[in-house]
Amino acid sequence: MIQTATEIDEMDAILLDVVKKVLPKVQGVTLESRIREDLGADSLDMMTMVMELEERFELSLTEEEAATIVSLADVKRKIQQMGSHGDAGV
Amino acid sequence: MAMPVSDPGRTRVVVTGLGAVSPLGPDLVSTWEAVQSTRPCVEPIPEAWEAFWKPKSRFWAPLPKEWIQCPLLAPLEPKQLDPVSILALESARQACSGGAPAGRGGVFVGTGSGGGASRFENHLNHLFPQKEFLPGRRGGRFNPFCIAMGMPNSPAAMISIKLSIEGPCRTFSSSCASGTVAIGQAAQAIRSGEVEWAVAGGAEYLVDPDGTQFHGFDVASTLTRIPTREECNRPFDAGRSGFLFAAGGAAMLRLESERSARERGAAILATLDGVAENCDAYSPMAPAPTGERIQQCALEALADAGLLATDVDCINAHGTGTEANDRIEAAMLERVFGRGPKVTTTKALTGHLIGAGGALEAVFCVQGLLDQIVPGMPNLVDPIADLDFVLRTQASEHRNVLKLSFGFGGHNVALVFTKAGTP
Repeated sequence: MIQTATEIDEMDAILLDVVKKVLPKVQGVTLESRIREDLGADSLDMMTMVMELEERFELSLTEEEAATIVSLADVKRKIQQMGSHGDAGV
Repeated sequence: MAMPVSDPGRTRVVVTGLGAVSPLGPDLVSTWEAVQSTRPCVEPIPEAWEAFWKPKSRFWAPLPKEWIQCPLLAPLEPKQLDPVSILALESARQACSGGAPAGRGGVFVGTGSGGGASRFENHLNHLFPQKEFLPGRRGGRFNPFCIAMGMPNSPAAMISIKLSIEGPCRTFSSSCASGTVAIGQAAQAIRSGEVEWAVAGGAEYLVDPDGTQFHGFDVASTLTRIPTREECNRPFDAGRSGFLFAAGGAAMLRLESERSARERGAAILATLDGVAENCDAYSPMAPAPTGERIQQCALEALADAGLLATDVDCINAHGTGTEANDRIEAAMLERVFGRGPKVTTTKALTGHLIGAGGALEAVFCVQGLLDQIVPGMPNLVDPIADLDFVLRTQASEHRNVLKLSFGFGGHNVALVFTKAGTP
């Protein structure tokens, strides 16, 4: 599907908001940040993040899919593949 | 009956904080205001539950809509917790406002079901992930935090984590006596010197999407079957037919050694001078018919406080509204106390909060001592015993209050609270 620039901006904003809520003390988060290595997320943080992303983007990730997430850009690609564009109201 | 006197050199336990979230209100102030107005909480059960069975009981005491929050939690944390932990934490936060004591603290929490609501919900999500299993009813996402949500010690653990209380952190499960047992055990830990202070109380949350836990009590015929809302909750009345199921709640006391409280200049709300506990050793679901063990429990708590039955001014009874409990408890009270003390049960206002019930009632005992008020039982019209029952909440000078709690399994516990400033 083709997404508008506005939709992509909204998606980015939601992705960054989820990270901010899970890791409130971490600064300088970008879509390319490696969530574990650069932002210091542990396995519980990752579980929380995946749960929140599933809810916000109305998608379902398998354990295998969740395990391959390295950065928010990975999540974004996955969402775009699945054709979801998130809850723009956030 | 002459009773032994308690050890005069023993560390005295005082109450320096109270907190509550209940069907009557999301905090202690609103809850106590409803008690003062003798204003009960009774609502029809959710219609959606009736898709699963035909309930014999039609009413419950739900929690207020604004309850589910605690400022100590980060935005996403509530999704990782069973509501019972949020209730426990919020009531503990209230009880611990106004500065922490120095010295080693502990957490003592009672709960009947723990995170039972989450266990039921996650079981459905496990069986039917994202699938419709009934018209209009889908399983949800399997919550990766399901184990921590469901474990009974989560409420106590969350209090320790969020309030940085690093001493013993214990959970007690004694059915409807759980919260009261936890308070008694905390008092013993302070007396022994194991801790200087403690957060102690009970928490319960019994709402699952399909009413499974209500169904369990309903099918056992423990819940009120009276069909009219205004009259269905009537402990100690000849027309009673069971208790009013409460959705949940939590209540906590901050207990402290008298020495600690005086050193830091904390306001002492009451003293907790008497504690006793025993077991009927009789039945998983029925109280022993003779009432001997509950009588012994009450008398042992009084002895622990150095008091006689004639010293008791007020009793906050277990008083659920079931046929058996009220019959056996009222007969015991009549035998031991006669028409001496005022007798009430605040379950007539709140419904039965199971593991949190006794803790909430202990909070009412302390608040009643502070305000010199005894809560009333608005639906008592045909009392089953010759006791000085309190019908409307009223001002009444009193010094010593006995709190009784009994739980499925035969767990009995009694506490004696005394007005602050009493030697």
